[in-house]
Amino acid sequence: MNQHRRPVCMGGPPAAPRQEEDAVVVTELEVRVQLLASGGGAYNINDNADILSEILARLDGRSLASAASVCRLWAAVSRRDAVWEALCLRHVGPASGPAAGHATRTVVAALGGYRRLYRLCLGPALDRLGRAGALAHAQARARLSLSLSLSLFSIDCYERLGGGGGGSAGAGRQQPPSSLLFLCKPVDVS
Amino acid sequence: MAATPADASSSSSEAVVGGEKSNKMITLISSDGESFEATEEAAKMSVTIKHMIEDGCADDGIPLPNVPAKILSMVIEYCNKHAADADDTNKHVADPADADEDDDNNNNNASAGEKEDLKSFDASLVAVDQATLFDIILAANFLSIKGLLDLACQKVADDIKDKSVEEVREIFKIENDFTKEEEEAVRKENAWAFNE
Repeated sequence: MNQHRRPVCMGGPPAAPRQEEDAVVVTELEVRVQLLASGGGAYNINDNADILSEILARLDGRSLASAASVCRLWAAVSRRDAVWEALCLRHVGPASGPAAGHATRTVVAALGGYRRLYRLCLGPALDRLGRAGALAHAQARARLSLSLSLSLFSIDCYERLGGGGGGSAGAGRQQPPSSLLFLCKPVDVS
Repeated sequence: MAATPADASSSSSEAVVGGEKSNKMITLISSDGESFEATEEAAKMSVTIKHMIEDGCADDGIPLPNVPAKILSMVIEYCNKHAADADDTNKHVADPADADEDDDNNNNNASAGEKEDLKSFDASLVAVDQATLFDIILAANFLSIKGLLDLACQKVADDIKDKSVEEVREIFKIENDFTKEEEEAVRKENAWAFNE
């Protein structure tokens, strides 16, 4: 395993839904192996990736997205879906019982993962609620409905399947923007 | 047994009705050989220690080679405080028959005050330098004390929140090991969070 710094993406046709994830290819395992080599001294936040992930899991969405730019290890850890899962579950109404947690995770993974769920559904909704001051008032009432989030999320998934399904070789670069982006803008329903 | 307001407010971690709680003291030995005593109840806030006690490995003291004395004393302080708090909550819940209305009000006021106390205790426990804070995290992780791990990790997260990337690197002495292309790719990957 002599893979040192490989700065570019692997070539070849990217699978349509995973385009954005192909960007940085250095895996978390590679970074951890590299870091093990450099040792000594007081504990550094990068010494243990699992502890780093515990810490990053307690950030808000924007801070977590910006944390990815700190260094390779942070980029790799912030890509862990478990970290985004922790963030999402802090804002979403509780699933009933521990078994439901596993079932939810399966569904969310099938639809594209918690990071995508946050990006498309929860993040925009939280931003809008924050701006409207709703979060300040009733913490309990502002907990977003898990089933609503999943419904919106599955709409996005079906859209992607429909748009990218046709073309194979080299296609899919010009995907129509997700219709869920409406959540980011105020909607006039008058 | 008459329950008077005086009794209700003198709550402490004495042995009480419902004799499951023993007052047995557990010895914990830090990495530098110092011995600390804690009640079994407080010690069991650590899932790691709880298992050792239940497996019968705790009789001669529990050596903790990963935890230095300075940190162990803070951890024990945390456990004592929070075990007592959990104890009080259980007591209030467990004796509804004894409580008349006055008692309830007193208990509720005491609880609210105690919660504030606990919050400020927690805040001051983690208001330490970075090295100590990480030592606490490592100890809480090793000892499986969820509340303390939560508390300490949240403190570090709060230090990261709303800081620029350069500031974060400086605070935690992290080297920027991205290549130009990687850095740009990561920035693009996460640009969605910054579009208004």
